[in-house]
Amino acid sequence: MLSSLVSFLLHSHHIITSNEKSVFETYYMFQDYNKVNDKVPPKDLENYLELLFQIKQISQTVIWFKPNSLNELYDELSVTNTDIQEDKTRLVRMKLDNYKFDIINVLELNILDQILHPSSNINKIDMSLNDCPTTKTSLNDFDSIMEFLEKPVSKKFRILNSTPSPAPATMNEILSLDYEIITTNLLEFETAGNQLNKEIIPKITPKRPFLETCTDESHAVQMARISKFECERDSYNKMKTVNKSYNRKDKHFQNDYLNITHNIDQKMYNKFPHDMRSCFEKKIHFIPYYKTSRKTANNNNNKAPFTNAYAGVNTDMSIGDCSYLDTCFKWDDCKYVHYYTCYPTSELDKQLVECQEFNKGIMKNNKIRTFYWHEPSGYNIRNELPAQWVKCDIYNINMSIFGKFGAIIVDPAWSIHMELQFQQIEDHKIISTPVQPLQDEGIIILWVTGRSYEVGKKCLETWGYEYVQELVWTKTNQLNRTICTGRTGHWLNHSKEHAIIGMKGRPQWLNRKIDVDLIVASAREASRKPDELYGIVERVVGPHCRKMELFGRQHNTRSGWFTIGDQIQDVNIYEEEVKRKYQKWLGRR
Amino acid sequence: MYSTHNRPLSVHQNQEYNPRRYSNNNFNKNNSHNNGSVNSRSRRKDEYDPSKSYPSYDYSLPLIQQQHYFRSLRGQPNDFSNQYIHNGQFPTDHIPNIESSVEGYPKLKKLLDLKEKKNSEHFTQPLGCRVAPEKMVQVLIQWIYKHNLVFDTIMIGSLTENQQVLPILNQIPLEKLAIRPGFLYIWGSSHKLNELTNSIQGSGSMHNSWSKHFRRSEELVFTKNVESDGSYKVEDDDSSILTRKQWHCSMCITGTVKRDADGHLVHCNINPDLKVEDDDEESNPSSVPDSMYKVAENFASGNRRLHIIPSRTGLNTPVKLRRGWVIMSPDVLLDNFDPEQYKKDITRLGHNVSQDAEIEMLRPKSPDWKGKH
Ligand SMILES: [Zn+2]
Ligand SMILES: [Zn+2]
Repeated sequence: MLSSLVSFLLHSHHIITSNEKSVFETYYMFQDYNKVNDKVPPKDLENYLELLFQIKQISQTVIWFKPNSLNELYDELSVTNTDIQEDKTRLVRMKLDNYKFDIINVLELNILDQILHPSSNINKIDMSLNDCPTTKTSLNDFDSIMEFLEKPVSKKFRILNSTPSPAPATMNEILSLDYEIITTNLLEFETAGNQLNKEIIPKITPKRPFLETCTDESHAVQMARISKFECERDSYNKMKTVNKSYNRKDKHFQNDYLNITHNIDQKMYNKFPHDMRSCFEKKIHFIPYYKTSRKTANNNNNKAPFTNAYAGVNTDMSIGDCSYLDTCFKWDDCKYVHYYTCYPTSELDKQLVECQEFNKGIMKNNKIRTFYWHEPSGYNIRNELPAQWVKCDIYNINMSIFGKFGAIIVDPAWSIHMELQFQQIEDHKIISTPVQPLQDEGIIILWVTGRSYEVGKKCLETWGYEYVQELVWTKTNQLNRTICTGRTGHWLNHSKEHAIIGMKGRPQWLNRKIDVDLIVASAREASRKPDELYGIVERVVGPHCRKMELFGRQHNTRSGWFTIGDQIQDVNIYEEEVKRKYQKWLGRR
Repeated sequence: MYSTHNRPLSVHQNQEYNPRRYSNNNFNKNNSHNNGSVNSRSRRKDEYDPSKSYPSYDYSLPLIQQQHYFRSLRGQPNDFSNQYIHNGQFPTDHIPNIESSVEGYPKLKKLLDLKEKKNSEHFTQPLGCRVAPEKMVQVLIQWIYKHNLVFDTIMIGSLTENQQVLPILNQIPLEKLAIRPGFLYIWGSSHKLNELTNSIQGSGSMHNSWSKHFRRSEELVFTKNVESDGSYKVEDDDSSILTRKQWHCSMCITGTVKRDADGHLVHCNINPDLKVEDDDEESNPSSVPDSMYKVAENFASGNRRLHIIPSRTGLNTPVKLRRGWVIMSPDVLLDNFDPEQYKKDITRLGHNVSQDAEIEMLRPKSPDWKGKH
């Protein structure tokens, strides 16, 4: 009888809600409906009411009444203590006359109808799929629809039976299905596309080795006790000469030039407890070292941790870490503590093999994308483009020769009114960058500095982009810590940088919400941005999409990317069409 | 049929394309450091050459070359964004100094402790002012014109989505409520950032009086290492390209203040402009985390601090009272604020946190203070 009520409501919901029929009126409509369709009508009004209440019990949101909810009415009626049947019926009638149908949720009713009439469901599919064998599809299809509708709200939902089963006949059976139909929170709704993306992207993103950092401080201290560091005098002098030619602000990694060798007293190391040794083989450790000046070392019978001691100053352990750590440019005169990164190469090699195993599967997983809603066919037979770059003056080249790109990174040298080794560009010139021809639709990422924040937004507007959101890069130091000492900030210490993301057109093919809007990565040479961004962009637009970087330098060249700028060397174009156009442009000049 | 779309695609016209030939070797050919240069003369072919660049991780290369790539990363082999994709651990989860950002810097730690102690000596008792959001403008205007109240630090908004910050900003003569120099902190999720920026700039439809007097000086970012359903959650919408995790707090300044000469008014470079909070930190979060109040307290020495929360903040992030602050909110527990009494209290406590010789010695004076060593 419940099923006939559902069919009735589906059949005449339009009349009911548009005329604000009362519960009482619909009772008679329902009676008529049953007569016409040869179905058993409800015994009496109370019986009808109970049916409505049952529907409400399955889902609170199927029918809405005004002025009150049906539950209240039901409660009200059940506490009325009249034994005289006539009185009770009259009372019910009176109340029901004032109860009007407000909203009928047709979508939910349909779902309910399909649960109650699995056979009618089969019929529908029969019609739509013509010759397909349908007997085993019905509930599977229905399951997936239901799951799709249900997922965002509650994870409780499951209809486990994969084979068609008879329709749930009783109330208990329906309730035992244990599901709540979509109720609220459409804001949180995650589209099926997103869910699919979240599933597929990890399968086609190359895995990289990941080395954990040891959190047990005593390990590093123990290691420091048995360590001797050596520093080639030559490389130290080399660093000095190299550093002289650089501006103070340009911090190069001293370890590269300093070439510190780490020697361990193997005998002592073997005495370490087993778990400590295995920790050294698995995790990254930062070994504090203290420098001893040559003078002090001679006095102490050369027991300095540096075998060839320095003319510089002693390390003072009590004053804490150096702000610059491995980027310290006055290493010999710095009293603060520096660290040697001791990282487990064997563990890295082991993980590389594991990763390679995983990465072999990427080609296979990529084939899934051929059947994917927004991917081009033949996805998996294409190769990623090699790195391409052109040294050019962005303001003097015809940008249209490069073709169209799905993603653009712009990292201009915003002028910060300070002397830097590289040239800076004035704001108005950056705004006038001819970005327009490079993109029809897609995304742009523009690195800004604190001062150029507002100008950056103006740039996006001028170039034809809509501001979407911001990406924050948390800069870390050698020890992975956020930078908290006074370095750059005017009022507060700056420990992050911002990039603003803009969008052009309405690209439907973006893989959204795969990554978070935060990058944590170490700071490198001045103004060099983290490589993590490339991975993020590649996931958003797909690895085969053409991607461009403006104002790039040599270290920004990367396969899949086209880098242009005047800080780059030479020209390396792989795509024939671009090559032709570029040569034509050169000739015309 | 597959849907067609105009995603710009790679144009492969050369049929004999071999990615390996082009990706790395070609790069090195153009790199002046290669064959014949002093560095590589004595090196074997497979040996690691620090002068070479390894621009990206290419898993199709032989293992030995992959090892070289990771060596070229100089002890920073990890890519936290990649790690997030594969195991869901947030990039910010790998930061070791979340709990104590000054780890390893005893001087800074001492400075922070001293500052906290000194600030607390001048704190007023916790003050609450319970006002419905729609009445706030009216009450604040009364404070301005009837009681002549002024504040040194004003914070508006909290870490909740349904805020009505803009109406407050646009309807109240903030330049009259704030003393000059004065400091303003405005909260917004990354959604509201754009309209907030427009408001701060006074551009577009956002013509208002306050933006002419205040200038944006810093942008604080707060994020919490927690899965989406916890407190301080930023709601995502269809426009997001990346999952939103940031709360922003724009710091604006009115009036003239010089970072080197006005040490009695502001102490610069005490706190960083970013705060990452761990999941287990602060088991009962409040509408604004304590750490963010501290940033404001450590920066400006003014004792009159007002926090306006123009919305209900919900059970997950209730309004917490804080010593030294007047908190105006529809949900604040205490309703003990009396403008006239407050003026008396402030006169007694002093308008500014008093100077302290030790703090003066320890605090950073110029952006490059450590560079002098
Ligand atoms: Zn360890
Ligand atoms: Zn140093």
